Amino acid sequence: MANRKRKRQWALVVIPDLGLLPEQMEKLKAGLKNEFVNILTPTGVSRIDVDMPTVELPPLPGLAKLRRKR
Amino acid sequence: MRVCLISAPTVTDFEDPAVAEDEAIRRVSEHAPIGILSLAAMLELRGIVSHIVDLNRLYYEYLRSEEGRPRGIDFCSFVAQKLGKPPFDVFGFSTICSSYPLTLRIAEQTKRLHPGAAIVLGGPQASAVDVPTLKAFPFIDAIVRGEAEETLPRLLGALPGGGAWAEIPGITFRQRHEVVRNRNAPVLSDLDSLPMPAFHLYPHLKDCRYVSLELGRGCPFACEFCSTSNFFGRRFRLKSPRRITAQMCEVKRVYGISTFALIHDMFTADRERVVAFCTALLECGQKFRWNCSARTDCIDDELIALMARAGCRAIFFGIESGSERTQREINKNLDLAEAALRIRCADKHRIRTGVSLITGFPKETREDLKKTVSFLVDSVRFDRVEPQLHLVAPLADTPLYARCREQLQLDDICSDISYQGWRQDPADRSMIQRYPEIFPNFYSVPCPGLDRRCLKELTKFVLHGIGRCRWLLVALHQDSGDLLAVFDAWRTWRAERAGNGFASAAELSRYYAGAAFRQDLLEFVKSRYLQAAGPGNLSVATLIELESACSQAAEESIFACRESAAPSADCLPVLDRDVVFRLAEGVLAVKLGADYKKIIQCLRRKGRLDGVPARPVVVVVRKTAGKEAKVVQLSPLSARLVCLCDGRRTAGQIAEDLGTLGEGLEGIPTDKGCLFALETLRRQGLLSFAARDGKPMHAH
Repeated sequence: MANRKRKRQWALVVIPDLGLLPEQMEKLKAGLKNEFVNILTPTGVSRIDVDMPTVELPPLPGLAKLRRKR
Repeated sequence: MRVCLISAPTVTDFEDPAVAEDEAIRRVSEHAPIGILSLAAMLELRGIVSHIVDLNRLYYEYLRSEEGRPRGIDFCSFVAQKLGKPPFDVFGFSTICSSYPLTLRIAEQTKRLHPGAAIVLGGPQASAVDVPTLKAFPFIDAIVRGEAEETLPRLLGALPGGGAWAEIPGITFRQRHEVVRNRNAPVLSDLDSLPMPAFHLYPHLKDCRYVSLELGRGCPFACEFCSTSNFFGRRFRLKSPRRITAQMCEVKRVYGISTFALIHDMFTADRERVVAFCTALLECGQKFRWNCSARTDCIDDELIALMARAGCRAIFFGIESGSERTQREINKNLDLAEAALRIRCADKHRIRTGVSLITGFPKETREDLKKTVSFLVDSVRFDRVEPQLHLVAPLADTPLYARCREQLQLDDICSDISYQGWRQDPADRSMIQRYPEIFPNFYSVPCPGLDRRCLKELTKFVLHGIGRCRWLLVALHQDSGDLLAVFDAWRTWRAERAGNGFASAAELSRYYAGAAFRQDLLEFVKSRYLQAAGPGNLSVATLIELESACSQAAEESIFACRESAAPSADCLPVLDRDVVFRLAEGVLAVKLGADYKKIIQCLRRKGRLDGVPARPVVVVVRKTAGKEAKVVQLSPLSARLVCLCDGRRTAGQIAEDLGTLGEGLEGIPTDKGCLFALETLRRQGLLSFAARDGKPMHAH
């Protein structure tokens, strides 16, 4: 639902009229289509150790609660 | 009767307040202690209101306390003092292996301060080592073994004088100077009869991000290293779907929490019940998010899809070993090809998976280890996999312990198979050395085929390597065919530069957790690995290009912002040639020598890396709100534009340069087309604009 709403808002946004023809705008949009590839940890600090730079490997945030507790 | 129930601590490993207070640690430490809350609910039915003490919360209080650490009061004394108010007749301690020494020291101080109160232990560790514990520690009065919901109330009922203890199944106690071990208590067959855990006695619940609820007990399997079936038995029991959903709805209604850790070591062993549970969740009209544990041979694609629809967001898969031989050896017996398919399926349904492997088994060979590492690295080709690689520990009362009990070794290479317990107070250490039969999990089993210190380093190398440079590790593994061999080369390279080894396991951990490891890894791949010719080297070199650029950008604080500027839908105030465009904050553009998207596609599918063409591409790395960034490969036109947006050129100059290049604007007026394109990229969050004087402009 939220996604659909966002898309609708996006569709309502109109770039100011530059006098371009619709097919010219479509051609430009197609030429500007970029592709998401993946997720990185750009700072070189991982999800694993971001919060604890100097200690033993902590439980993985998120799934740590799934680990065995005995 | 005044009863105080105390949880087993898990956060006490973190001595540094800055670390303990960290978001990640608090997330896994601050949750309601479900075991003692279940017992409190049972006692409440009998008119006994328990006082609940969460030692994790108390530890935080201790760390933050003015009168605690600065004056040198240790945590045990701090807790013992807190436990005395108001006075109690019984202190019941829950126990797990990693914090058992600490629990015992707290219990001892508690007894010293309150000699008239009974000290009772329960939980997995005390149950497994009941007799030696009572023999060694006279301040313990009794141990409730196994499931305590029926046993503890009976014990408390017989407490004054303790004369009737001999009649209570499931307890071990001291009678004069002898330790008496009564017969086992039967396990509870109808878990629906258990009341809702006494969450109302836990005032911090409203601050918890999730609530643990028990789905059932008992595991029909008998893995060699695992203690679950000893504690809960092998008889598989589940609460009814109606009961669980009712409890989830109640928690949501009363406390507003709709995220649950659903606890059962083998939830999916009974497929029909899982289907019924998911159906009940879907029909209850409420939305929940939950996670659970499963074996990969007790779940199928159809079931995973249903679980995802019913709100399952994460599954823990204990794979344990990537070697078929070790699978048999440890009595796990998973079909590894099937396991890989289940992980893939979960990823497809957007379920995160904890893929957990263990190394250091007694008969494990280098070939077994190679397969384990291979399985782990192969699994991280799926975005939602969170890898775990542990050293095995001989948990008490397991077949592994029974097999190796005469050969246990104590050194500083601690396992983290359960909660950590790697930081030991000298008093803990002394107890561990003196009583190996009580604290075997701190020992190691002999593994003649492998060097344990090297194994410890391998776990760091693999997990921190994946955490920091996930796709680079996958590429190294795929390109070389053996990440273990890469690790050997890495160690040799590092030894040449930094000398042999680390002074201690702690130093090793610090190095791999620090920033130097990533820098060294990139340097190693550039200067050593890439020197050896290989067909996939273009791909590895490209990944290094990107990682190095990110590393440089991080040093220049390009990613220091919380997140890249959100794409704005506003219009340019003045859509003219004088506007200066530049990369948005938190966005890095990198020119690469090969098609990055194809490289990642190849790695995801295990395709041939030598088929990736050498082709210049531009990718942008765009910081997200979390600790991560999205990598987007630009179209040729976008790439041209982004590269021209250097913060100096105006839109007009960019249009001229682009026109000169003749890129992608055939038949379109260059000025207008360029402005349209720049504005489109701005709305994608890649560019920002400013007036020619450099001042940021605000869209209206």
